[in-house]
Amino acid sequence: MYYEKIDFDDLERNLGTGSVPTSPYTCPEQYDREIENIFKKSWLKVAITNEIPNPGDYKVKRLDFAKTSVIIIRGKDNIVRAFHNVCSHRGNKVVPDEDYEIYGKNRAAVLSCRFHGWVFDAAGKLVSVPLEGQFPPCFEKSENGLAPIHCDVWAGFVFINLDSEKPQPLLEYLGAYADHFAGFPFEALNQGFSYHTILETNWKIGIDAFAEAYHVATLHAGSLGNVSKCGVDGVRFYGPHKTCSVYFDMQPKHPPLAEIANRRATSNLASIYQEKQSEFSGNINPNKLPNFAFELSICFPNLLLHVAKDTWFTHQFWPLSHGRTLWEGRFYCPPSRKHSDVFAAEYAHILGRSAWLEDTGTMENTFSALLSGAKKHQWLMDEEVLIRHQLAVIEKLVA
Amino acid sequence: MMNESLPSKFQELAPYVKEWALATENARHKKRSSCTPEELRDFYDTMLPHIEGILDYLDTFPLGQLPQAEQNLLNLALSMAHAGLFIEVYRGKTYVPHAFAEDRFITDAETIKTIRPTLD
Repeated sequence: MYYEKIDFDDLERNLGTGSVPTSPYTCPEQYDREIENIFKKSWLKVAITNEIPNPGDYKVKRLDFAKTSVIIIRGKDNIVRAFHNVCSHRGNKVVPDEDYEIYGKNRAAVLSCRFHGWVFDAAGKLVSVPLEGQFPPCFEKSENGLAPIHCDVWAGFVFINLDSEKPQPLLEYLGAYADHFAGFPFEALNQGFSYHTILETNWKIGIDAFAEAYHVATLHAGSLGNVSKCGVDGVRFYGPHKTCSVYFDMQPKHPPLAEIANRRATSNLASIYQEKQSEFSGNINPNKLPNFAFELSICFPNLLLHVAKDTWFTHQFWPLSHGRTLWEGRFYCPPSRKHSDVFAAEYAHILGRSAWLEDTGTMENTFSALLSGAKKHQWLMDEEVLIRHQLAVIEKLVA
Repeated sequence: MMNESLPSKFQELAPYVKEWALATENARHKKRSSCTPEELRDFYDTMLPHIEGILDYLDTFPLGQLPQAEQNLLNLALSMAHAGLFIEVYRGKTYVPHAFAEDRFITDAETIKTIRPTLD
């Protein structure tokens, strides 16, 4: 089934409250259907425009689930386009991708295959073939550009869609989810940190672990011990996407170094100095909670986008196989203006990293435990409703 | 060999420069996770009374334009951000308890320049 055919109002009304099966996490056939029906047909965030700011800048991202590697390149016309990283000559990778993501730049905004020197421009056009005269007369350069991939940009996020047919336009796919975050200065908050790892887990287990705040009191008793109360409110469903507001009540005092770092921080989620901003652009914090900490959202299928005052962060889970997943965690804040900002950002950064180590620590255990088959169902409480919605959308699409 | 000097008013911290004035995030993780709890506590206790003075002093220099002695001081302060978290939040442990294997977490911040602190 395609998104356009899902009655999302009906889906929301019938989310139910009962236990939900665990088989979608453990069933390899389900995984194959998710790849074909979801990952190869959905808009997927593969870059941010800040990663390729200048004409000729490019990023290469390996997408193992689709057995491809994608070149995302900014042209001299400033348009960002995407192509399969496959040379039109004999199929070599135009840009060798020794890692899941690599970055490069070419002043002339062209890519040259290292095998035989075929050159493509940033619009994918084949512009040069060494010894072209030795190819047969029926060979036409104009017919042998790079294979294009649907690519579009929203709010500084570069999305691709691998569908062989023309997909629903990106803005239509994002719908009111995009309006929810309208006006948030994603591109101006461009300093931060980034980690990745490979997890022996199913991609959905990773998404679920970040899609609720119920775990904060226990799992993050270490890193977020100064949060005395935490919960979610303002749940909104937007087609396949969803969001909610996470709120934190804080302990009245920080320990000494935390006090200094948090007082000097320009942005810090878990701080008594976090200026409690309840008014945002768009529809962020729709219920105007005074103790709002951050918006927790899922841009379907595999991007968690979190937004707070002067901060945003993402988690993305890329399926490598049924039981293997690439996780990318990225955190963005305002550029430092002075050295004490650098110190305070380092503190907030190490705190975030530590919390993420706590989060990722559950993901392989959950998967390997579910593989035992001992539990056929899982229970979800009210504040885990984003997981319930995510699973319901996936169920429709793989049917 | 790195110049191990410090600004004269922070000479008291000179014995810590070699071990703790580390230039990269990964080096700071490595030092924190490989030192003893006693060493971490000693560094924290020594730095804590100085840290506000260090930050105020470093802010008298334009961002990213530090002489070597001041750069060493900033690198000490950045290691203190790490030590502070583990002493205060993780009660002196040198690792995140009950968590993912840290050596499997790969830092991209030093290779993706667009999201690296603007220190140039």
